[in-house]
Amino acid sequence: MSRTAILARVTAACRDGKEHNSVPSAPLNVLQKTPSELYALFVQCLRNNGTAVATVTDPAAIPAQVAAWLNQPQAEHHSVRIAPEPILQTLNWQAAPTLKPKYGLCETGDRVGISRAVAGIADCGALVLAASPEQPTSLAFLPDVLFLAVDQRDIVANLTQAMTDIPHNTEGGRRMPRAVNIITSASRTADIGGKIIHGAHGPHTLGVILY
Amino acid sequence: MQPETQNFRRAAAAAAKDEALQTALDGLATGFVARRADAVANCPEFEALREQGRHIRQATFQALDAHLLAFERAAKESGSTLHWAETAGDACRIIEEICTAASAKVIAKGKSMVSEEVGLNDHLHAAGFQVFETDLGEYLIQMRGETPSHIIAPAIHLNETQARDSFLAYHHNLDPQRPLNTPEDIVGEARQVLRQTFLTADVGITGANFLIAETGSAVVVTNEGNGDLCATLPKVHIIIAAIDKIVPTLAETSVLLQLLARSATGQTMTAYTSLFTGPKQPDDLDGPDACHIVIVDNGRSELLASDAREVLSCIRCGACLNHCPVYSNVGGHAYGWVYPGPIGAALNPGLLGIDQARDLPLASTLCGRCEDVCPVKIPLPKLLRQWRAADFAQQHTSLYKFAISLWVWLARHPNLYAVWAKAVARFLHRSKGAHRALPFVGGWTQHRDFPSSQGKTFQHQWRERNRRETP
Ligand code: SF4
Repeated sequence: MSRTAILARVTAACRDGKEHNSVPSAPLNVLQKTPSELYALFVQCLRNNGTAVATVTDPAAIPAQVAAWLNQPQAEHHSVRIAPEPILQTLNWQAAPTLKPKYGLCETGDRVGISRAVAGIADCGALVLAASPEQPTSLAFLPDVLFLAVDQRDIVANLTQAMTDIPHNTEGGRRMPRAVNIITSASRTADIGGKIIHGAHGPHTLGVILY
Repeated sequence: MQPETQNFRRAAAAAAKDEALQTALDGLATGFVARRADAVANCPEFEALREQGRHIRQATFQALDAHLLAFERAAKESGSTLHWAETAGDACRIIEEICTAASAKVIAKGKSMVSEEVGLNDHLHAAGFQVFETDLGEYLIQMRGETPSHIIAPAIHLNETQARDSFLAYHHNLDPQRPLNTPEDIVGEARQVLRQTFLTADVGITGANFLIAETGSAVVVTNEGNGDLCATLPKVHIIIAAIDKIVPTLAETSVLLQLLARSATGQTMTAYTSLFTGPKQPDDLDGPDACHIVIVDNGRSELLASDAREVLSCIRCGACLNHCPVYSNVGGHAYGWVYPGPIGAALNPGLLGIDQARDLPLASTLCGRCEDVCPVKIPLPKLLRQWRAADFAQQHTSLYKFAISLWVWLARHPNLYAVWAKAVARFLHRSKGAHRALPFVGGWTQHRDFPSSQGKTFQHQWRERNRRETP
């Protein structure tokens, strides 16, 4: 049995008689910041990463913001694929006349995807997506343009905090989501002659709406 | 991948004369090196992170068996199937069986160094599967029948023109007159073609940057998002990863991730960092029906028991390659196997045997830049010296060994050493000019003259000076 043989060799090798170092558990760079400082840092890092950012005072304004972005440079009709997610689904998308909303799984040909991030990471301008019945993973990767809504109260200081916040097996029996995607920019590649090009496989444009 | 590590000298000499390659390598300093320097300058806690990173890796290896078992338990709880592969052959056979059981035809593959190490693509092709690399760099070299020349930028040896020519030749069913003038056009075409692959693939295979014991998750880091599509669209996801990828907890993984992106490309974070844990859950709208994790040993447990254990701490960021004066001059292919540069020179002898890779630890000036930039502080120069010593101990008969032993013996007999040194100093003395050629050091005098000695040894001159100065 490969398993037994590998584990036996590993045991023989790693029990070297030395005291086991305890792993430092305190995460580094713990930022002591107020919510408004976190917000400011998050917005600044998003912009540094080339992400479009807008803040709305009420989630009800999200459709209008999406339409405003999509209507640059000129007004056009867009069908948008929206994650079947309570907050997004209850919005009045019809209020934005150029948008044609579709819910559920992404299909071939869907150009615009809209989903909600469960957290924003202030010190690197990243968004955390967690797969669930309301959040299909493919919706964040198949469209050309991706808009993510994120609640300002869900901004955390750093990656360590974001990762330890993910519900996982040891915490009250909650299962880790099948996929957790931490997204820091649009899809990019530098594999053709070293130049950075967006839209390699995933979206070429990323926009974040804070509410 | 068949090792050609024994060809290093010849391949390195050829690489040094390859103009296209040299131009491509010139870009390292302005690209990766400069961007990493920026990222480090903007991260005041970088040194502290490195120290923590080194500590996390070492502490993990001290109880790796327990962490492997914890990973197995958590991965099974989340519905993954685990497979253990002792050798490269085992890994290939296991993955072939999973693909056969899934009645797969088309396989979409993300970048994975261990899959290169075990020769997975060739094996699956021979077994009748169509395997498509989906990382753009890997796709490009797959078209050309080449191997990666860099850990994180597999096609770094190719320029835009070579990429365009390969696309025109490989996508011969597309209109030959189509515009393919810019890198944007080329990337756009790859996106279109590979999108079809993702949508039709029966199996997705990815590597893993880390395996998290606490949750049974595999971490896949990409800038393109191809790993995410491989792990989400096909009905079977296979993860292939070596035993050294284990990290105990989410918190510790977050430390290593912060080091990885900054060291690799100078990004604060890579575009996509994804944690995959098991197959699709009951009400999920997408995701694979099955998730298999193949844990590969292939010589690592022996390395763990050796004095080269620290080489296993590597998180494959590629920084040591980018900063190495040897790699920057000969590129990755000269090293003759999957892992090039300083990490290759330190790891390949451990995985292949020092007799297969003896020139690699020698291909270093021991300048120490690799250790200075390594995010987990692997003492690469020390490891290279260890391999040199191991190689020396193995060479029982060679002239080289004889010469070094003679030197050691002489150095231990000061009187004889003085006589010998005097003879050499005299032999090398010329009243003017330098030596254009000398026996035994043709490698030196072929390119430059050897300076003439002034005729007396250091000890001789020291004695003379003392005599002059003491009245
Ligand atoms: S040895 Fe260190 S610098 Fe080199 S690839 Fe590995 S982690 Fe990076």
